[in-house]
Amino acid sequence: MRLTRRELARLGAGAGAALALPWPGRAPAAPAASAVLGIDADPPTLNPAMSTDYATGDVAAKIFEGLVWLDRNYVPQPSLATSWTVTPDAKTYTFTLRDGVTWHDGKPFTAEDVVFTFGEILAKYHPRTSAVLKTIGAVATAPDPKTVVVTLQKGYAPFLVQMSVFDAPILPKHLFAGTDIPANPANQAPVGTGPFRFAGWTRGAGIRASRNTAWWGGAAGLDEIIFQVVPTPANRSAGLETGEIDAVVDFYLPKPDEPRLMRDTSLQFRKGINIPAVYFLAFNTARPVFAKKEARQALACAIDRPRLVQQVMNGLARPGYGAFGDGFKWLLETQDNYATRYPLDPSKAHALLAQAGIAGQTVSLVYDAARPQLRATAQIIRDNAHQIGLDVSLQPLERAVAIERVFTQHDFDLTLQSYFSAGDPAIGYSRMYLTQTGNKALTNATGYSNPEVDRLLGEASVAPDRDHRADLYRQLQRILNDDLPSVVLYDEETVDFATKRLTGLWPAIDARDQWGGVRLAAG
Amino acid sequence: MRAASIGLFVLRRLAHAIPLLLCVIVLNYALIASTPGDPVTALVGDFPAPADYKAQIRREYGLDRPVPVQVARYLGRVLQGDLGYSFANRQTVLSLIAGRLAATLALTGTALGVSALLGVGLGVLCARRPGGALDRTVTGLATASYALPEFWVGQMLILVFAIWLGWLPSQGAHAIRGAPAGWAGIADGLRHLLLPALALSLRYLALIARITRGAMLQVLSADFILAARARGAGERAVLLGHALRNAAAPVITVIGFNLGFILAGSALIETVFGWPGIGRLLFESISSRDYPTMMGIMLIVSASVVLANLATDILHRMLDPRIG
Amino acid sequence: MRVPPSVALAAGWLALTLLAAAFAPLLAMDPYAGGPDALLPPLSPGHWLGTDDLGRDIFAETLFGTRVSLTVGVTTALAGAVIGVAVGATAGWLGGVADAALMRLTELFQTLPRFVLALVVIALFGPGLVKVIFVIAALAWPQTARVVRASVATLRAAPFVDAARVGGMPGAALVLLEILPNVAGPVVVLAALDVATAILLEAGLGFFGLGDPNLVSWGAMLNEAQQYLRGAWWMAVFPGCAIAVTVLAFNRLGDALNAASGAR
Repeated sequence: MRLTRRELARLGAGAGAALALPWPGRAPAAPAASAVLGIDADPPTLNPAMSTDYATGDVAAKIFEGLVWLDRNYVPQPSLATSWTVTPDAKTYTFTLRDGVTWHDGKPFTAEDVVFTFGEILAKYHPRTSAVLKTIGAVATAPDPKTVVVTLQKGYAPFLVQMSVFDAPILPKHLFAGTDIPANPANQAPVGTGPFRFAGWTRGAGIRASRNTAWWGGAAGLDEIIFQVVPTPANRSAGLETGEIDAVVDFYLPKPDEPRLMRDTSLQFRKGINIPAVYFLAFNTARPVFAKKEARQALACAIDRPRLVQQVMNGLARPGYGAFGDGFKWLLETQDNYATRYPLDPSKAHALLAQAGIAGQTVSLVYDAARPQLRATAQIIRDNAHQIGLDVSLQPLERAVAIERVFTQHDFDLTLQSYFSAGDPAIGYSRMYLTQTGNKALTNATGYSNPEVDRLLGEASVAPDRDHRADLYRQLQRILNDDLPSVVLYDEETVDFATKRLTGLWPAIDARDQWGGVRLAAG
Repeated sequence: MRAASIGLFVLRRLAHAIPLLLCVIVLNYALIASTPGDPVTALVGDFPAPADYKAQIRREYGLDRPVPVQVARYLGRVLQGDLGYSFANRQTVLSLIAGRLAATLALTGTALGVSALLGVGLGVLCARRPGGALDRTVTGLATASYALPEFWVGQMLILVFAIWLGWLPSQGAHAIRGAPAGWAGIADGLRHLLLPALALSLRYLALIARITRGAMLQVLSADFILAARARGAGERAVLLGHALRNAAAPVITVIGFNLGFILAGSALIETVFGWPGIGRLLFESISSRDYPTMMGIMLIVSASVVLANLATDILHRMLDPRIG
Repeated sequence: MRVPPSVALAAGWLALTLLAAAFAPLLAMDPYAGGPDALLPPLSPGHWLGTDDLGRDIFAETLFGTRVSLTVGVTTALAGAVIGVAVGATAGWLGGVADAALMRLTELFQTLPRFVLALVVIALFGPGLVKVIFVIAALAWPQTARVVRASVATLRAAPFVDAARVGGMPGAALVLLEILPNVAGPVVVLAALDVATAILLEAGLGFFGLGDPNLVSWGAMLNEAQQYLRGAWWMAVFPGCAIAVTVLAFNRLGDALNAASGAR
């Protein structure tokens, strides 16, 4: 009964000619090679060192650069640094900087810019990196204009992985030194070293970036990139289908639309786990109902993770593998994981629950009300828990209140959270299991404290050899899969889309990065 | 003489409306002050604002002072046009709302116009032959339409006209890449306006049609109508010239006093259709816990209703000198 | 007295919804129990109205939704009637300053935009059935108060009231026993119409995601349906029809009562 857009357009065109109204259809190709990228809202700032807002990073990745960029396997590739050496104790990094790089305003790029960025901007303002730099005691110095040396007090295995444009963008010292950095106008009209330069910002409409003819990488493939603000999520999918938008990153798309877009023959897509993000159910072990691990394991046996993947994420996720999900292939524990320990088995769940001495009870499930995935997940968990006699009371709360309830007051039985860990498990996942005595938000709210786990996590984050780290993470999984302070529900898969007319897309792990080589085929 | 008496009337109604407005503002503040948690959050929103900004807010709104001081401070700021700052949108709330006003006015204005004109027209036609086929059909449809939730009507219209038939766009006020210039732009805008305006106007139209019909029937049974007919006045003259003019007053009253209808409906319709107006801004500010914007919209909408009531009162008085 | 067919239908539908609300667990499966069969169209085996995105049965959800709608509708209408009568009778009987003050208060509450205020209050104070009832009822009484006040003020000067007063009846009892019964007609009509309005308001709140998350409600169903409009039209059509028909039934009933009492 439902006709496709194409068939209807033809039918309608006939009727439309009679009414002399313009009909929906493909937008005519722009004369210049420009690509329209859909974003969800005006970014709060265009300075990527001040904000980890997704749209900020999107625009900034075309205008700024980091010392390295990360390819699809998370291997750092030369960007502003052409080569680097690391001492065996992983505490000293020496970067050789690229020749012939200039800022968009013509001034030359030197090591001074890097040192200034590290010391005055990243260390003080970057939401993610400042904490890391402080913990590892990183100090950057420039022995000569082409070399930067970074010394760390403590070894940090993912250091290089955090040197991309998102975590350590290099900013121009000559524009920021001696100014009030948060109020600097360069935050709204950025000057970088990248393949595109800032060309204008009309609030509510879009941002334009035009080709940087003086880029060290040669001429960028596109003349212009237009970041179109499309506030309604459904419009972003529709825009891809009608050809009004050329590319949209997964972050901005409603998941239910993605399977349909994947079937659209005018679009190309890239599916995978690019930035590992686990969605997990955390237990409050300080309360009697989930104090015993058998009670927690019981719920793990009752939760239908494949169903969550199918219905909440429309198939675009992988069911929980183990304590760290399966975003990082190199550390997976294949013998002892959720598949072996907690297959979907309501009778086993009943038995475990009885073993823990818990009979029919009402438990509270706190989560962020604004996130539709958490809402749907919560409803399925309630359904699953009901089958083993646990009555779940859903408590969706606004984000700030939820964070306060969970991390400060510890007033919950269950809570749903999701954490990113871009590039390395130490960056985002350790905080799930490390002993947390204070009330720091978005860390470990379960009350679980295991000195052995703390020790292993600490060791794994500094050990320089990846195989040794894998070993440590496997030990951790064996312990955590048994103790189960949290159950990982699923790893989110992302699907990024673009029109087939664009080539050279997505060489980097982050779909927003490395657009210098993208070209638009005629048509 | 008549002008003076109307002038007096206006002054009296103004004197009535102004305390009402002030009460609305105070009530707004009462809501802010009684939210659970820190009232600074209610004045700043769920946003990591710098600590000194929060301290500044605490000082300026007198949050550590007694309640009457707080109310006075808030009142003062609002009357000066300061509705706070929206961190989520990086603008003052007033400029944010002002920027979205045009879109909402376009939508509600169209809905209002359509429902008023069509509603009155249908009501008059029904009153012409009460109990006739047209009358029964229209009254039946009106009763049914009045029961339909407008956001559901919006969803159904999208389903039929945008998804199944593909004739009209389902979202937004203009094409995604911005409105084209000239006539194409106007046509584009109208195509986007059609479904949301229809969804918004349906219930209102139903109400106006029924009220007009009722008012007309009442007037048509009056003596002066009989006299006019006896004098040989044509049907149209009787209906439009005599009856409608006298029925106008109650009809206008209903239209004016139910303006809150349209405003509330616009919040729902703008959300369903992604229309970039104040209604959608309300939804966004609720989702992002941008409290200053939310309270600002509440204030503006309430004030609009007070003003609309005032205008309706005055218009009514001008049409029917017996009032006042 | 001849009952018009539409009124009979309306009363019949309301009786059905009452039965549905009371006996829901016996008439349908568990509305919260989803399953792997998500997004099944109507007339699928075992789910004659289809299933939603989490595999829950649409028929069961629609049936259980009557509970929230009727609870909110009837409770707020009752509360509105009680408050309205109290305020209106007091204003009408006392007259003078008290009357003016109460009428100003009534006007204030009548001016506040109901839906926007409800949205704002729920957003600030959190969702929950009790809060929803409270905030809708708080704005439901002005119209009743006005009507009651007008009647009481008029009747205050009526001869039978004088007679009762002369006979030594205290004021309050007088109002309650002699005057209010005359006002009952319009109050009931307004109450019936109020139920309809309350159901629509609650649906709107649910549509905005501000309903009670632990209960099935038609508005919340429409909220979920929004994302799946393209692929699963049944998620939106059936709860919407349920709202429409129920509201229509209450409106029809109110209209009929109005006509019967010959009030306006």
